[in-house]
Amino acid sequence: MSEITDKSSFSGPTSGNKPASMAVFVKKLRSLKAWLYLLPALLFLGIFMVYPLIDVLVYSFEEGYNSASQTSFGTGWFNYAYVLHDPYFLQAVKNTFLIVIITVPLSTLLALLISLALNSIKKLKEVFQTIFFLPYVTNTLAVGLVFMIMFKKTPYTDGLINMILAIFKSGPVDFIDGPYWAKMFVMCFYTIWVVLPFKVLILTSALASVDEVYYKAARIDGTSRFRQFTHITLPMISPMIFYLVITGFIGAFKAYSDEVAIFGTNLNSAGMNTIVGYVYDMLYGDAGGYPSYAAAAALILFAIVFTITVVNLLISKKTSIR
Amino acid sequence: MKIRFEGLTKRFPNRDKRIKTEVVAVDHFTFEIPDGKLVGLLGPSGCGKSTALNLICGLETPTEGRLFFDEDDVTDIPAENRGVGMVFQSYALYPHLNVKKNIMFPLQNLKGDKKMTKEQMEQKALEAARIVQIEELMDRRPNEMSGGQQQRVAIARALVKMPRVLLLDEPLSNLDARLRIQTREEIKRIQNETKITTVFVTHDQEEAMSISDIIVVMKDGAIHQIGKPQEVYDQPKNLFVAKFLGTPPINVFNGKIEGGSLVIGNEKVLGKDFVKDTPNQEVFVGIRPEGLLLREGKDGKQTGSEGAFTTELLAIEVMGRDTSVVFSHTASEIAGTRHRAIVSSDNAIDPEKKNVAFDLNPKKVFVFSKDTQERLL
Repeated sequence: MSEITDKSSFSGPTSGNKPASMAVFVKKLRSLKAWLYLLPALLFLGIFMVYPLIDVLVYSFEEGYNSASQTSFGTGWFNYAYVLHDPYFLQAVKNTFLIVIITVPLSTLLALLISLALNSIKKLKEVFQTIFFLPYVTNTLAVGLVFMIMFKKTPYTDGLINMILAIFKSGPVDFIDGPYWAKMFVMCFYTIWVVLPFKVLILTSALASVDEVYYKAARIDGTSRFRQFTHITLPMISPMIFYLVITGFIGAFKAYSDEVAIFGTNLNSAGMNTIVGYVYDMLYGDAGGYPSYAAAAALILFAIVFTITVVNLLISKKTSIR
Repeated sequence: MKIRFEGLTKRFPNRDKRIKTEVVAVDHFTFEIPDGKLVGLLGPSGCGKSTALNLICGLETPTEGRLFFDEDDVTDIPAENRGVGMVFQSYALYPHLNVKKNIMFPLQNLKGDKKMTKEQMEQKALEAARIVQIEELMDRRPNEMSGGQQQRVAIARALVKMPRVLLLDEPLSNLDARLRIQTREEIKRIQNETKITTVFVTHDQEEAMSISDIIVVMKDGAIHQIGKPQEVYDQPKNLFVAKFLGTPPINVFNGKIEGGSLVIGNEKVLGKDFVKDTPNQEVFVGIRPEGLLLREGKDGKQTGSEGAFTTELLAIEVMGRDTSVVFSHTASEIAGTRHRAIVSSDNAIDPEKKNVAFDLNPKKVFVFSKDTQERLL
């Protein structure tokens, strides 16, 4: 149909203004067609992404919103003020930040070391790669169970780690219900262990993709192994490292299920809650039913993650230009 | 600096692990590259020329034999301590560094009393950039430059530390035809200016012939001939060398030596003066395209039907400066080959003619043994 009208617009010079407006119309029709193709995706995104986001924003400013009666007492910053003064929230923020700061750099560094080692061995390379990738395909609950066996004190045993500690005449430490540092140690250990395989996978393929000829050229020019690593390998794989750091930050800020796997659902009493855990508790937990507080906390988390991601991207852009 | 090979050999295990025999990439190289010369290692792909280059720079270690730079035995010295500069086929410029930093990279590796200040390094880098004429591109990244410019940067990076030997691996293969001619002249000029002994690898005979002081023709890991380009072209040692050099390629026919003359088909093409006392035997006869001469006709016009060597005319290709006569002959080494003769464009040949006959320039005719393919005459 549009093809025919298009051709008719060139039928003769006498028809004047009309063909021109026709062409504009056809053009509009075409862009409309494009929107039509996009519609399913847009609808889906709109309903499940954009609308909830706006809704959360609205909730966060509505004081004492009740989802059953759809009523609230008023609007304002009350929810934010409450959340920011809630000691549980502050504890959750502290925990989350600690996990982020400890696990993201450590896991990336460890993954880099492991990848370098994997890349330099020749025999049984595939076997080792598979071993390092196993945690990625292992069930979270199974992993949690393993960690229980390693760390949990029961009436029958102090756990594997404590047995090892006993050899060095120290401990026992209650890693699950004991002091804060011990719990945080287990938490970080677990998080690093869980995120490691993916990072190792990405970095080994990044390392393998660096063309061998650069190392040959560097060798002929008398470049030391260390300088080869810092001046050739690192810059060449830096896009992948940045990718891992950014996704690592985002992932660690959203930590929740790993905490539940180790410390159970009552994270507040264990003092190991995270921001996402706090949001969940506010919605569905034993003390739940406060969607407004949950919304405010979620938006605070969003602001934090957003800021850090932007900063990360800016840094990565700056270094890549250099 | 001289480079001396003494029985240098490199064998690789076969890629197919079931085959136990090893692949000989470089087979007992014994020769000397004189100081300050530009040497072209020439051969078809897979002949071991790149391996030979890697042996010189130390990226590969020889299976046997020794390698000397002047009087120093460098066989066991690792690549990083040999003081060679290398330009890779893909240039291997560090993509994250600009031109200046790429060129300075080798200098930053220097240690001990050779260590330079930043100013000295920048000075050196600028000098190297000047030699290859890229000083105005110092802030560019490799991906912002053309292939030819990248090539120059790679050469500058290889030159900056004043190497004892400069090695170039297929230096022109990634460039387009026009840039190739320009760059090969450039390589010649740079080598002349720096007087660094330079070895380059190529499979393109024209490239090797045009700029080398000496060419080394290789096949299957073995050296077939070493010499000045013109010498090798004019006096090929065997059929392979004769075939490998020259465009259009040499025309090869089955022939025989019989009763003091050279016979192709049933025509005696050259007589006693050429054949001398060579015993009767079956031979290969190689005739350079420029060695086939059209004889002028009786009325001064070219008839193309006289002359000692009669062939079947297929086509006439006018090139401007000269004309190529495309013909076939029943005695071709490979049946159905389209042979070429290059004749002056002054010759007017009737393309409708069935046959064309040539006289032969004995200097351009080579006779090879059928068994050994070595040259007899």
